[in-house]
Amino acid sequence: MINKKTVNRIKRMVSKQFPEFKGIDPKILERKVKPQSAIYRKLLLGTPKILGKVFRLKFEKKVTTVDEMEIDRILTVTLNEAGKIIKITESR
Amino acid sequence: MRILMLSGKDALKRQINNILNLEKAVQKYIKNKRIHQVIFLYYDRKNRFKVKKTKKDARSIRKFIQQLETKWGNIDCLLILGGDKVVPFFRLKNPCDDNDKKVLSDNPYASRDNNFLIPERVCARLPDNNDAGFIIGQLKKYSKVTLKSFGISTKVWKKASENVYQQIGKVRDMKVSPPVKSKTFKARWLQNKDFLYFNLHGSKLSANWYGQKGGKYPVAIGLENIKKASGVVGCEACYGAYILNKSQENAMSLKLLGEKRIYGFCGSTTIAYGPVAPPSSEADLMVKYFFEYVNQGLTLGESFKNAKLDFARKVLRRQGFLDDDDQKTLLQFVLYGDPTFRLEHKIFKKKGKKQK
Repeated sequence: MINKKTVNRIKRMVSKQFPEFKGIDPKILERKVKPQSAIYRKLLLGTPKILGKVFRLKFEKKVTTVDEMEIDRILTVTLNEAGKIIKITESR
Repeated sequence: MRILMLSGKDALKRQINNILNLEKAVQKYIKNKRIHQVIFLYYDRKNRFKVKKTKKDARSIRKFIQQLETKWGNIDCLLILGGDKVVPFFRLKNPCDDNDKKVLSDNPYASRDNNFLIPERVCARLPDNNDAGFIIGQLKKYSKVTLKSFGISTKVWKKASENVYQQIGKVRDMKVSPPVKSKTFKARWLQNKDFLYFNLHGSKLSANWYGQKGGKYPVAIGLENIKKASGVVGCEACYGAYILNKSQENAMSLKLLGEKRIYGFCGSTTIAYGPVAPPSSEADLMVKYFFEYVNQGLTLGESFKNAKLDFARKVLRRQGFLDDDDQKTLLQFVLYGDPTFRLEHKIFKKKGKKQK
């Protein structure tokens, strides 16, 4: 499982770069990465031996637009096992 | 190339009442496709291939297509006539942990095996909007190339959006919301264009698409802003292509497709994801590849299929696997419009320019 220090580091980064998510505790998801052989085969690519884990820290909140529609805002930070950020995505 | 145009007669009748005019328009469309083998079948009627008719159920319809393939040969392109009440979307398991219970998808119709992420054939849909004229209109679109584009992004995704928009236009021309709001939006911005790009927020309940700056979410564009719009649409908004129980009155995608010169619409049926900054990933990457191929003169259908294949290859090379967001992106993006449409005059115009 990802350690508390890493989670706090990500929370600080999110607070700074995405202030609208400040104060939100992320939901932490652990995903095992299995070789997606069928997909590689279908795309005629050689299958790499990828085994390991990624961690997804999901920050979620509801916001209201000017015409009072509620929309889901989701910010996801994906980390590798070493705690390095692989990518950051936002819901559209 | 084999093209199957598929619908359900009973369900279609319920949606648009008189199907005679539509059938005539389909026959005319088929007659004009001289270089392709095109057939039009109802899945709930007997057919000359002796494939057993089936009920209005996504899995049964997919089986019908697979059985037809064994008798007719590989189907390169599937064109679905009608919305969810005629040929249902698949309700697939959502790979992401978000509020979408299922992902509405046409991917299984595009796939021969049970790996639905990677399409093997082109698949597009002509939504019905409860109106035969709406579907007929989609079959009669012709291009008038202008070499102009329009794009709009939320302020917070400006850099990410520029990375997509550069495929089709000059980034300095791309609009940003705010300051752009529906009240200041000029309908002429959408007129006489080849491409329309939208990287805005969307909602399942509203037809509006929204900008963002910090915690403010102004309406960037509403239905009232659509007048004589033209071009191929690439939309990243959440629910941009969500059409369940919707019509032109409350869905931006259908409003746009109802315009005479909107050639096609590529968008997401559910909550979509994208990067906050370059490089392009998820929805940004999908739309970027789609525009790239359309711009090269490929048909909308080929462009859409190639975009999905290139998307998957790029992600696998970049990170070695398709994660939850990537898988959802592949499933949720759909194409509305005639898949055989292409901006073909663009090729000649470009060549003409070079010769000068």
